[in-house]
Amino acid sequence: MSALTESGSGAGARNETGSGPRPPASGTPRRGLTGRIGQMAFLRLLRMYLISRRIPTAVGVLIGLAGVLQLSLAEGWIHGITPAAQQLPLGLETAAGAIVATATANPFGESERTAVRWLPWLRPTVALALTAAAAGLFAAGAISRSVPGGELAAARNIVGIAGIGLLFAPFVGGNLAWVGPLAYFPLAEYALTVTWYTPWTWPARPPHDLGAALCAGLVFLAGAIAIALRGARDRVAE
Amino acid sequence: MSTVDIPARTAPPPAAALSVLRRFGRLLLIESRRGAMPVLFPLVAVLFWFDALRTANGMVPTWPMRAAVIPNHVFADVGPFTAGVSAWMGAREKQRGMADLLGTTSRPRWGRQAATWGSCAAWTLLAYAGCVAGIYGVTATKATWGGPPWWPVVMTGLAVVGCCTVGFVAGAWFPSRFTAPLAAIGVVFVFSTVFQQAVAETGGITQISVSNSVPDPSIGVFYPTPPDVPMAQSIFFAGAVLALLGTLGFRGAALSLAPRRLAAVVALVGIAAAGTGLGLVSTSKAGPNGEIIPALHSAGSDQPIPYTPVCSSAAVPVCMHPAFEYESAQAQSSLEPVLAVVAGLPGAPARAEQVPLDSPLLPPPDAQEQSAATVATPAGGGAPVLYFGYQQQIFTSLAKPSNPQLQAQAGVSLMQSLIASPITADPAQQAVEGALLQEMGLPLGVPLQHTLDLYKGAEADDYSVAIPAPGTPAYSAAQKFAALPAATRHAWLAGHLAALRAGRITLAELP
Repeated sequence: MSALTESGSGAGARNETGSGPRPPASGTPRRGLTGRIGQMAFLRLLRMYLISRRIPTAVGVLIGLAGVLQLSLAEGWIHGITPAAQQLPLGLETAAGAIVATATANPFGESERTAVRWLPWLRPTVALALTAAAAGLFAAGAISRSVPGGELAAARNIVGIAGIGLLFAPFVGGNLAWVGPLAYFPLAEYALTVTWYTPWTWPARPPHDLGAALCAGLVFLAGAIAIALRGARDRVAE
Repeated sequence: MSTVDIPARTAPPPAAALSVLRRFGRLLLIESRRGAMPVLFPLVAVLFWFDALRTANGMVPTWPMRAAVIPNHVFADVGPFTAGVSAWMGAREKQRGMADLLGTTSRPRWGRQAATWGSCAAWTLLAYAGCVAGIYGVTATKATWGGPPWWPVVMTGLAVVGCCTVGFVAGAWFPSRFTAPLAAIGVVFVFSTVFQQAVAETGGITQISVSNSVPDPSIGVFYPTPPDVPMAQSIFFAGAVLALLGTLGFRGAALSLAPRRLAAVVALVGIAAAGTGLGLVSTSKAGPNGEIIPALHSAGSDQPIPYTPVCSSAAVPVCMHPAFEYESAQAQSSLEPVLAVVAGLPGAPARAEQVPLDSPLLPPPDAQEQSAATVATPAGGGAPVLYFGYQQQIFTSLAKPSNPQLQAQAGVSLMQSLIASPITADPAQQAVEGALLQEMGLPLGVPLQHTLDLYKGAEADDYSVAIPAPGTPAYSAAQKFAALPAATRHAWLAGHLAALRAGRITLAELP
């Protein structure tokens, strides 16, 4: 019996001949072995998933974006708290959100979706982890400098914009999911300029605004659910 | 005949060249059908409506102002998307695992990629042309004078193709799923950064930014906008496109020498053009009617644009520039009551005429002033004219039904012209001026701080002097004169204005 067959069998699993339940010879050690194999299989699946979604590259790109933020602040490209000054950090936050969304692209197409039962959990979890990493890296990128709106607002913006990208991914595919954040950018920019008050344009709201935080969080939650249930709509040909 | 005797063929015969072109055309057509840009057209259309079209519709309906929306908003709506989609198209061969398969075909990679790039650029230009048509189409129904400026359209079009090329080349050189979003946001980031530097400076290399100034409603109306900077920008963007396309010719090891040479020539021509454009822009400086580049500037373009003013039908007509006809109601409601008070008096203006706010005819306005007015005799002689100018609002929603500052300036200017400067006037002159200004809508005894800014050389303390000061005999006389029926007042003024101006009338002699 192969390990995979064994790991997939429970107490009521049948023996190789299929004639009836196999009597447990020594329950605890076998269950322990099964657990370890299961853990190894899951870790392998996780590793393969992260590689297939180019997560290491995505993290590298996010580090680069945080570096650009640091450079922009150091060189004085971003100064003051005017709407114009907030546009540059917003552009970088949009890029971070777009990277999170693009990282959902599925290179295996439909076959992967039908074969792996952990994917509905992996997809939102990895997206959440990548979003958290982006927010953390941006906070690190703004260290010892003052980013317009503050680090809290930056984290909120990234969460919301990544959520928009995740919402787009099931419909246009992971490779084109960046169009969602990119389309939201002019809207947010407009809101910054004309001081719109709707919390749905959260980048234009103050950092401690509860409504804006809730809206950004809701959008991310909706995106995470969408990506969990449907995944990115990518065909292998794409 | 041996093979040695066969002459070498140096160039393909015309039929073969036509065949190559036909094949390229077919490839371009196939690529156009497979392009990703049309998929994003609805999104771009919604963005265009929300951002560019709504902004343009809110602006004053002059051609130069509406044209400013093209580099400021249309570029921002189309450019990033086209950069992202082109990057995706540039990386498509690798993304679909077709790079090796296509690499073994007999066709050069450069030609194949040129067809893909061509389809991206064609779709981009189609989307851009749709946006320009939308803005200019709406403007054509609203504008009352002039025609569409084309240099901003050409320059922005080349900039949009530049975005397309940057994205495509980035995708071809770095085929990754992250190239497309980074190319798109990179365009946004560079655009925003250079724009911020450009609006903070006058002249210099930052003027290369597609959008480099906050539009002024009077630009391109009284004087033509110099096309110098858009011309240099166009040279730069065209050169950048060529240089970037040239770099694609160096991809892949299997290319023969001839395509590489061609790619090198294209890249070098592009670099030379882009360098020239950048060099020209770096010499830009502020001119009388906008940024100029000495090497490209034509002195003839500084001449005023001839126009026929549009005049109201009042007894003393208010004449506006036809481009600002939409504001004629505001100007009429501000100036006609003022002009009606002095109409028919000796030396009173026969009409009011709009001139640019920075016209030498007008006193230079201070920082707080958005308007100016003065009475002067036209250069060709004839009856005096009340010249006025004011800063137009960028958005029609900010326009007000009347302009109190202009009204006050016109009133004080008329008093200065017909009687005496309110500051140096004697008590009788002050009393008459106070009564007339009250009739014009300026309450008696109210300080004329802002309007007196007209009189250069007046001390700051003078600004707070009310004309006439309350409690003085002149104030009482002004009240009495103001209480007279308008016809009586007008008749008395018609007979005594010369004597009043000469200072020969005392307070006691006022009716």
